[in-house]
Amino acid sequence: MTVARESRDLDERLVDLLYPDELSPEEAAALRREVEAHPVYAERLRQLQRLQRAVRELPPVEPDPQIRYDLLREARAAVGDGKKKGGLLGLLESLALSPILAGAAVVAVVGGGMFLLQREMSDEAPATAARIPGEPPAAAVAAPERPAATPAYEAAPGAAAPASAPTFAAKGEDQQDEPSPVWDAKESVADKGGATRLEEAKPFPGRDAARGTLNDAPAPVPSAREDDLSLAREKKKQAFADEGLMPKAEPVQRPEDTFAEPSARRAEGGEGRGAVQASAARNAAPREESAGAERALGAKSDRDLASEDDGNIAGAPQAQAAGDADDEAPLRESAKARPAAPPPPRPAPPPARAETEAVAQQPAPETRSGGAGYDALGAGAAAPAGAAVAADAPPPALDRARQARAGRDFSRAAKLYEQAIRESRGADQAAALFEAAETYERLGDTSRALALYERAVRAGGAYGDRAREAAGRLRSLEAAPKKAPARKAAEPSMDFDAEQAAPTGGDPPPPEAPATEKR
Amino acid sequence: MLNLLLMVFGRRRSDSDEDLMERFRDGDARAFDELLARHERPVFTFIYRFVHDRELANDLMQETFLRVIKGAPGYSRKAKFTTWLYTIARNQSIDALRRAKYRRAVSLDATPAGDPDGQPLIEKVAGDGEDGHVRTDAGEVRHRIEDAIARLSNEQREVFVMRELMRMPFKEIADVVGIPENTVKSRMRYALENLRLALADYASDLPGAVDPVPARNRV
Repeated sequence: MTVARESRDLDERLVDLLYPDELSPEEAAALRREVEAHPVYAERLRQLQRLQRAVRELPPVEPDPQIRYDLLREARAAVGDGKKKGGLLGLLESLALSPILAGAAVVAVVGGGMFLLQREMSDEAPATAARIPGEPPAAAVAAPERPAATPAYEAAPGAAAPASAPTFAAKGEDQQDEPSPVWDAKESVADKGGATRLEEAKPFPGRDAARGTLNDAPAPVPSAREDDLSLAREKKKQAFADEGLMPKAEPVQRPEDTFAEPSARRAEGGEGRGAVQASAARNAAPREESAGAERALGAKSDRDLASEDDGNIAGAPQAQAAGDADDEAPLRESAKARPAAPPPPRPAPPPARAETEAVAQQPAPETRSGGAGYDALGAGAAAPAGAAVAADAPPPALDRARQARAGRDFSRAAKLYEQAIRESRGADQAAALFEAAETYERLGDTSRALALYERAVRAGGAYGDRAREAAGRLRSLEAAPKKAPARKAAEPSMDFDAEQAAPTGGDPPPPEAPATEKR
Repeated sequence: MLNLLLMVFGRRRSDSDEDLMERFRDGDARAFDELLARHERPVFTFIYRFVHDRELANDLMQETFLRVIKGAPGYSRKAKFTTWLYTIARNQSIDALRRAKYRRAVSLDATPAGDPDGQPLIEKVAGDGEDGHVRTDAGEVRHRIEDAIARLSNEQREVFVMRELMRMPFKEIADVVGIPENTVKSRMRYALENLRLALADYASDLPGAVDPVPARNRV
């Protein structure tokens, strides 16, 4: 009786020995000793272990790749329904998904900071911000050539705006009287340039003297304004000459020449703020001509405006994602009756995708110096946001490659996968590498498939694990003495598409809560 | 600020399933891509071994992940993601089997599981080259193993597949199936015993077998 019970217990505990990772080492050792003491059970354990190895060596089964494609589109559509996270993280992620918002936020933050800096400097030099009642703004005197009401699309003077050195001390509040909001934004940036420049000028020995001159110059002479302003200008010039910021022998040299480098660079690169504003204003004019719209445009970064000017590049992926969402209605239907034919061809991806990514990947330029700093605002604002948008949806080439593969056009799929590998980064690239390798393997180009599997392994992640496994399988097939039949048996994934041409049947969808009792 | 940005932009695929699911719930579609890459094949394998029909398995896998997508807004980190995922997959499979009154009829002439082009392995590999008999044996063994798994009862098969092919711990299987862990082990034991008996004739062909004596002559 006892022996029979012991035998039954031992029989039941053989399962534990098959999975010793669920036992403590001591328990496993004790049980193993006990089983080894009974030859019958020891032999049964060996048989079960052989069976276990045989089961684990069963070839993996692959799902239909079209399902993956459909599910990814469904997931993107579901995410696009507007689920947002609250709090700071949610704000940051929403900014990451919207380059325009991100650009505006960065410009607002940096602009605010610079404004505060400017105010602080103005407080240090109260005389420079002092307004004479009834007098025209000092800036208007300093730059009389600028029209009083500059249209937004005639903003080319912005290129010359950065820091008219003798007069920047008189800027600040005066600029708020300008009628064009676009001009305001530009001038505030120019002020940032001036302020930065002044900060950089701190090490110069004559700076304190110059500040004293600037502080004292215009305020105490209300009666003889012209003379006083001229005198003030002369004093400023003298102070700058003393500092070495302006050569004494060139009284007619405009300070713009000193700071013209960023403007010239922008003009050369076709990225002139004025030109961008002009084109942006032209784009905006038919839609809305209000000053509010112009202000909004003025607040955008150069990159965003350039993107808009080029046909709304930044918005293209989102629009495409929205289009994808519209295409998803029959997804559930396809689960019931999946046709052999590939899904209808999607519209060609926006050709400017590469441009968007190129913009997103541009390194932010140096932000320490005046106009270049402003350039950096645009790039800095656009880069992370653009990158996030580029990373949000898989590259169009990857989508098209999957589509081609689902349509069994493997040659075209391989080319598109190569393109997707070049265009994508991170997880998308890993997916492209793995799927490209599968496609090449399907095409019989095992060397290329192996190379891509190895790259996918290096990329890591879930695809890396699968690629490692697939590469091992491929190598073992290559090393096998007789390859043809075994090779066919081990072909991955796609040979069963023809079977799926037949619909599965018209069963109704299962209930939300499956009528499955726990057994 | 920089840390926050790094936190937002710098998260990578080392995230757990639960992290990924929360990210997907919060609007990150790429997190679902990663989840799908991790679980697509195991879930398909599980369903396929369960229903033994590739087409049906494709449909059920799609339905399973669609339910994950639709359930994402209400997802909370109360249980392991895989427990939830395989519970959905299992319920889908059982419902489908019941609905279609699916009956398996497998034989040596049937298309073996995992065969991509519908040709029985026994025909495909027989007589191929000098080691054709070895290939035939290996193919037959594989075929018989799949056949034997398919012949297990649903209760035994789901436990066996989850433990042996999904490598899920008994505890997690118990959570998925909704039965005590000891019952899971008991079903596993019966499943193994049935498989051992079904494959007794091929025991010498199983990996690791060194005994040339035919299995039927052994104890």
